[in-house]
Amino acid sequence: MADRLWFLIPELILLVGAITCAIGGLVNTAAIRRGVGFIACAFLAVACISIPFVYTTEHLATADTLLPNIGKYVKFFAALIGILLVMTSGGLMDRKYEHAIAKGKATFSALRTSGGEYHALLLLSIAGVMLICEARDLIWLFLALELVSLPTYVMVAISRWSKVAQEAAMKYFFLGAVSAALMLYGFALLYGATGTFVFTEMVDVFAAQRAEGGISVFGQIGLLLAIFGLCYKIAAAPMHLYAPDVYQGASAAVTAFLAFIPKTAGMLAIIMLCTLVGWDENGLPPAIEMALWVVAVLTMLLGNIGALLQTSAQRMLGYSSIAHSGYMLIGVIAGPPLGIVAVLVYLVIYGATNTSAFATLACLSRDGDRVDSLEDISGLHKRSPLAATSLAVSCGSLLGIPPLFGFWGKLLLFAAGIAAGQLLLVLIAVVASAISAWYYLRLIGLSLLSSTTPRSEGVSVTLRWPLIAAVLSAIIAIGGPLVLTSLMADAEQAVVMPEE
Amino acid sequence: MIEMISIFSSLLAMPAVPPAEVLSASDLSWAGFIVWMPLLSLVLCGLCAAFKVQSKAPAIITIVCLGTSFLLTLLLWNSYTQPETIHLFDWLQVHWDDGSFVANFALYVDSLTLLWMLFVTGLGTMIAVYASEYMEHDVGKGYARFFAGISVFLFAMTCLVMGDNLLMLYLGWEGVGFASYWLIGYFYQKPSAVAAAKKAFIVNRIGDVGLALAIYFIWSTFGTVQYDEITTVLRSESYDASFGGWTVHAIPYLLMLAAFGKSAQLPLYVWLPDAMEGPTPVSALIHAATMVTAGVYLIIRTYPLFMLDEYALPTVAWVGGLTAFLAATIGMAQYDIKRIMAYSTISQLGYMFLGLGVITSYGAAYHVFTHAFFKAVLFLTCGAIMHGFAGQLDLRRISGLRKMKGWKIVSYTMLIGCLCLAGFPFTSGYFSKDAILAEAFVTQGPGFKFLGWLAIFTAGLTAYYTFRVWFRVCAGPVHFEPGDELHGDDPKSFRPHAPRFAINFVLITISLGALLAALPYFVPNETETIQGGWVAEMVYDSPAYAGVPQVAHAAIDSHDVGHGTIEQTVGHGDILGMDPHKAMYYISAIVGFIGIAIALFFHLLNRGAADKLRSKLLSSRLTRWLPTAMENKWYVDEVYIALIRSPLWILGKFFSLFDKYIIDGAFVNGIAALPRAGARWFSPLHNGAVQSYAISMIGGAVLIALLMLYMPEIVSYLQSLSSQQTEVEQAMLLMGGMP
Amino acid sequence: MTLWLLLLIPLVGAACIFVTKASIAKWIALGVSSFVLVVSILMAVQFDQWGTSQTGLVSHVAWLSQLGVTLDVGVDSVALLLVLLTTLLTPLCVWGSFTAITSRRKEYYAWLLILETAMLGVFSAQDLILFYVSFELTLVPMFFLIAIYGGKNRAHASVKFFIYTFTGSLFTLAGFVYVAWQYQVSQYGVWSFAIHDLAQFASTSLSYSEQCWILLAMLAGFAVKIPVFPVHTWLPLAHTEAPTAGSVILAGVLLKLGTFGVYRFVLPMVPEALVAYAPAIAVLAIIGILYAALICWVQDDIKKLVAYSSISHLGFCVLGLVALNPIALEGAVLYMINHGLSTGALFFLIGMMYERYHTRDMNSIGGLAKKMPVWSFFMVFFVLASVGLPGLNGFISEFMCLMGTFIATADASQWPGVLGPEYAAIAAIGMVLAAMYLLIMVGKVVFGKLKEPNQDGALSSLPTDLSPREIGILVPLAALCIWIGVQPTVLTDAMRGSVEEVLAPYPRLVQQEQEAPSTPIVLEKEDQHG
Repeated sequence: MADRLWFLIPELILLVGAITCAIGGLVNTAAIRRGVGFIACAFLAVACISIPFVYTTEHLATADTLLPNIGKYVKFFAALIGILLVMTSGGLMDRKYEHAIAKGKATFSALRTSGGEYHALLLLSIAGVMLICEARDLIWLFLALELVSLPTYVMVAISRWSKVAQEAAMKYFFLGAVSAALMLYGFALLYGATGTFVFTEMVDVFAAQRAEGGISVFGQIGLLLAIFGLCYKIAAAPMHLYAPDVYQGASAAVTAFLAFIPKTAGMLAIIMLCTLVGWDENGLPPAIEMALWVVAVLTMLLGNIGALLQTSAQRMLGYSSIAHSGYMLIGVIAGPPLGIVAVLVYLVIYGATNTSAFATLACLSRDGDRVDSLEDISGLHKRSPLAATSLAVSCGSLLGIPPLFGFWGKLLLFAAGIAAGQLLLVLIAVVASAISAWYYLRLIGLSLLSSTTPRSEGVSVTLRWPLIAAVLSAIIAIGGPLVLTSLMADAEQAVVMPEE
Repeated sequence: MIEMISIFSSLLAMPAVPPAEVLSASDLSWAGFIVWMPLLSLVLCGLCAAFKVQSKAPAIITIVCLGTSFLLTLLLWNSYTQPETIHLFDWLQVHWDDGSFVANFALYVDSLTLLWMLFVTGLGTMIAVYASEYMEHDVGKGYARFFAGISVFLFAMTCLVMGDNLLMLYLGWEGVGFASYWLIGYFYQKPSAVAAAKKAFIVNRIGDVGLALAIYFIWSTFGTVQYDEITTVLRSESYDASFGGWTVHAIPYLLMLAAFGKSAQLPLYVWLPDAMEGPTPVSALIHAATMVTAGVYLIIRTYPLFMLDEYALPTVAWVGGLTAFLAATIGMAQYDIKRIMAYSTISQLGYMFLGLGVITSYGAAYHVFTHAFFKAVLFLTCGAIMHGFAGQLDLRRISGLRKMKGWKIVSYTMLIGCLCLAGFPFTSGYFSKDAILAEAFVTQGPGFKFLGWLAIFTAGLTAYYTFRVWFRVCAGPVHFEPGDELHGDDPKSFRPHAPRFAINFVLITISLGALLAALPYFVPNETETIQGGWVAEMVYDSPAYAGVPQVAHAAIDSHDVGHGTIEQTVGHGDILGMDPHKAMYYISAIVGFIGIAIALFFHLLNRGAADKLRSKLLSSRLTRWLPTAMENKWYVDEVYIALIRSPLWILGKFFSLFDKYIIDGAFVNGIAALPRAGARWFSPLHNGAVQSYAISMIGGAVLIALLMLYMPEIVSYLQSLSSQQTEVEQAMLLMGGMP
Repeated sequence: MTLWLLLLIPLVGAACIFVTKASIAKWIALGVSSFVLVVSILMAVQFDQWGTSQTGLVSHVAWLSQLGVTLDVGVDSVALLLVLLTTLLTPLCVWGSFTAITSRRKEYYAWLLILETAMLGVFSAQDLILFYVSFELTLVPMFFLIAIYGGKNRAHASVKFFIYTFTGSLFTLAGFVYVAWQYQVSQYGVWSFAIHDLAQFASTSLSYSEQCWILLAMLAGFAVKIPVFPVHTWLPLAHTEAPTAGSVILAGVLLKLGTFGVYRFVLPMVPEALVAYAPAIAVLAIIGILYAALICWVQDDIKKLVAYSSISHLGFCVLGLVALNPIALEGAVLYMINHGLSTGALFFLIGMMYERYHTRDMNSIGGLAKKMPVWSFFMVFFVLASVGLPGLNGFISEFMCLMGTFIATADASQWPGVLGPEYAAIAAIGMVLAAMYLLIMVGKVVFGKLKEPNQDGALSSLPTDLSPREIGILVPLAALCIWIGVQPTVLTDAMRGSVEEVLAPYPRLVQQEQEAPSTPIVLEKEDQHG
């Protein structure tokens, strides 16, 4: 047990960080309150730094999880992108309130601030993602997943002044509960099918079943339901319906978070569940594979098609986020090593570039109000070339224009798909990518090419930290390919199964 | 009389010139300057244009350069002993393992080349001299451009004639077409000139395509495009009648297409009359004397290839004969003297092709030679008149020119030209035309006799319309009206500008040449086996002809009723029981006299009669079509527009709309609209209501899960369904019942 | 490393432009692109592999080793010729934009330089992915050049251009990856995207139906780029809206990326499929030749006319590519260069006219020979080069392409092909039509009575006729047109080895095809889970 706790050091660091943030947010000193973001960043950075020391060879030898190395990769990048996400929300919380306090128009009241709890929840949610990596049985997995989800419900609702955000939070929560129920039912069936919760034991049971001619129906139904439940986390069809509403309703920084952290968690969980049954030379068991196939196709097409008609930038990016889950499912279907590696690499690339897009939106405001309509970013290049360029670069990367980072991610996924013989699936992905060009180009065109409209004239960059985050992730989108080789090497190492 | 057939047979016995000897020519490299001098002239004229030289320098440059070319040609002719290739530089060479396409920039000098080059450079120089005065109103404006155009033309023409391969010929071929475009469109602000230039280029392009395809065929059949090598192949042992399959039969027809385009034969003659929009020296040089004879040159050059198909030469003969007749009828009804000359050119070119078709390349070449001189004279006199009378060309508005001061030389040189053209006895045109006419009766072929009679009749028409011009313009009472190019002169006090020294000098020189062109007929040639004088020797000494006995043999053996045979007793035709060569002396003289006499009556003695006759013909419903059709050029242009131009244009318009609305609109934008349509289709799903989301999500998940779980069962059920169906169908089929 | 240097210099230049003042951006761009030109000429002089099939100037740069993706560059003779075309046209385009571009100058020149890098990358890539990356990267600068500096309808044009070509090439990428996967299977798990390896593997080891699918996938990208009828409609739109330099680059180099792709990938990779599909491709090319030519005839917009003429002209090039014999293929490669020179120059000329009169409507302008003799001279000159007047460059390549098509019959002794005289004869009609529409255009714009559109005020500070700068742009192009027209053998000899190596397997395959014709259309779907 002590060995397993050793691997939780990053999570523990974040836990301490969360507590620190929660307290710091309630301090009377404005400087400390504003410094909560830095505290969160610092803890995330420490968690990052700790990882090479945690995952040493000798400790790994004692690990008893299914994919012992995956934690190193996921935790590191979750924390790293977590820093970007914290920056994205920098200055967003309590903006008006703090402003009023600074001017002396209001006095500080612990009940009216939310900065501290926001950061605490954020760190907790990231810690949840990290915990998934260490799951060795279904219960742990479920708890970790809920640790990821529950803070996000609050985060969506944390914009208390916004009715849209409240509505979004409600939807997110209710539907999240439904999906969790679905997943839990699936887990229960899995237990029924295998008689155990422990992954390593389940693997053996499933292997035995497969050798005898196929996984039992209970097992199949259980897996399917669990996967569908997880589809909610990654916003894959048909569980994607909440995503546009929620992504639109939440503030941009929160949406950036939603689009990455729960998605990573869901993806990881799906990979783990699939690892339980394993990929043989024909891939996953037919029913699972077909289900994932249908889900992937629906997700790619519905996501990209849905984005076409949108007028809200966040909603459009929400649909785009749905579509990206579809692409990633290709990697899951393709299976290890290349497919899973591709998914892991893609998660990082997607996290970085997608954050940039939302961060650009987060840094903008009109008279202190959030901007959301596409028209608001029209002619952005005239007011802030930096923000406009960042948005364009991130859209280009999401679209997969070479040589930006996003292209390489897609290349890996397509290569994995083709190498798994999923030609039709890849062709559909190709068509979906082509469709996505429409709306990404629209965003690029609006930000870099269009002229200012009367409505968009008042929009300007008011927040510094989100802009820095946007620029940083745009730089990652451009310069990322330089570290692609080592990133891929890390991902390859992450999916190495322990020697039997 | 030239005994064509005996020459043929004698050629059979002649030893062929081995190609190895042909290629040994290092001492003649200076001949390249015949080609380079016009190019030099072009460059210098271009510089003059660029620096806006305000003097006659371009003319002088051109005259000097072209004169040098002519002198060099004379020198070359003088030192000529046997066909030689003069390599200038490698142009296009593609080699691979065991094949190659070689077309060097090299000159091939044989007697045929020299014959052509002599009058091309000679007349070119003279016409440049003429133009130096004719174009002087444009000094400093388009003067340099004009002479640059002349230089381009001469350069291209020398390439065409002197090139040692078909690709060089093609270079010259398109080059002269381009020069023609340049010069016809000289008055580029005149829409009609621009249109005419365009038409010339495009119609010629149609022919060029034929030539290009012919080159492909020749190369794919013979593996070379060099004349001497083609000859070698044809002469080789491996050659037999079936050589090359069907492709060899296509070659002559494609070459014909090219030749007919360039030489303005049916049905591609429409560009030549319009080409008269160019300055007159251009018409004289390009559209009468030299360029339009390129088609004749091409066919003579590739004559052996025409032997490869049974019907090739008869086709040439028929097209030539019909063109000669048709153009003559149109010429009779025109009033613009330059246009009359243009139609007469088409008609005379028709004679040349008739000559080629009835296997007298000698006659054709001789006619080219004489025609070059007398038609140049005629055009240049027309030009002088046009120049002097402010663009007036209507033969009804000028009369009695020979009685005006300063116009004597013009009138009488024109008379010389007319006499030659009409085939007046003992002029050059008389001998050259007779050679062709007689051969139409000598050689046996499909309808050749008819063509012969048609040509004789046409000769009468020619005499008539030629002298119609002369009697109207030069004879009769003095009367004139100025044209519309007054350049500020008052039309009432208008005085004709009589030509000065340069024009008169050129007119005299060339008309002398036209007269003297009869002489070569009597000059004995060195080779005793050939009869027919110097020109005959020049033609028959070309390996393109002499080196292909086997082709000729094959062509003759392959069909018995062909175009003449070697054996005189079998093949030599007759006319009214007489030897055609002798009979033609009398017949053509008589026909010519009749034609001149009719012209004399209608256009000098009783000028009103012609108009009366015309109105009489017009008034009768039965005969109205004849003058109308003749005056309207038999509506060939209109037919072209109706059958080709308009449909293509409409097609273009249709395609343009098709492109916009079907391909781009329906096909491309339609596909692009699909995702958006899909988006509209799916958008009600996102209605914002939590409960419906939940139902969709759970429902969808369960649906997919069930579908997947029972997939094998579903598939097998579907399969069983379809197999049942086919069983049922088969059963029904077996019963012979309903489908 | 020279090639990498060549690729990076423009990028460095673009970076420099971003940190300097807008007013000197153009000089930096001109300096950098001229420097690249000089470097590339020096490279060409030092190049030892002229006339052979070898790849020279190779440099290996490791990259994504897990997938076998490398950044290897190198050029063979054909690619180097196209590199030279690119490095020549770019400085001319920069120079040509000096007066035309007045706003957002820094971006403009930076994009031009990035575009140069991308184009050079396409020609010099020795790795499929590097090729694809460069191929796609060309879209981005071009998208911005059209979208920022284009005409009225620029937004639509740029988006259509981008999406159309992007969509097409995604299929190409899928095809490439498929080949690489099959290679990986045969190599027991070692991935490679090296063009040479894959071409060799694909041509020998892939089944016929696989080759057909890959052929179609590659054509999806390349045919759109070339463009081949019926996927050509983006081109007229893009050309009409693009700024002058954009049109020049688009016609001069970008369209050649498609034909180069066919040369580089389709010919060596999928020979069996190509033999079966060549007639179909040739028919499309011929339809394109005639169809576009007839559309040219009825155009009023001069730029659209030249754009459609590009479609028509490139039909000849495609015909040469699928005729499968050296003369046609050399002609096709030469055609790429020639079309770049002459059509590029035509777009320059139209741009110069547009800068002065702000119209491209041939009905509202005419008789410019009177007012702009120098411009008119060059216009006529390049139209003639385009029409294919012998002695100028266009003729040689057109002649060779048609000739190669003509002799590409099954019974030809040396290089049997699947086309033949009938294809050449029908395509040759395009020669007449080309003369027709181009001369009509010249007749309207250059000749005739002087007609100028009503200009509202002083629209242009340019002199009436061409300025020395503009003449300086046109003269090198004209000189090259003449030089290639007179000395094409220098170029055809230079590319011989490469061309013959590409064509080596074809005679045997054509013979096989002749003996046992394969079905050209594969309709049965691949098993999606196979």
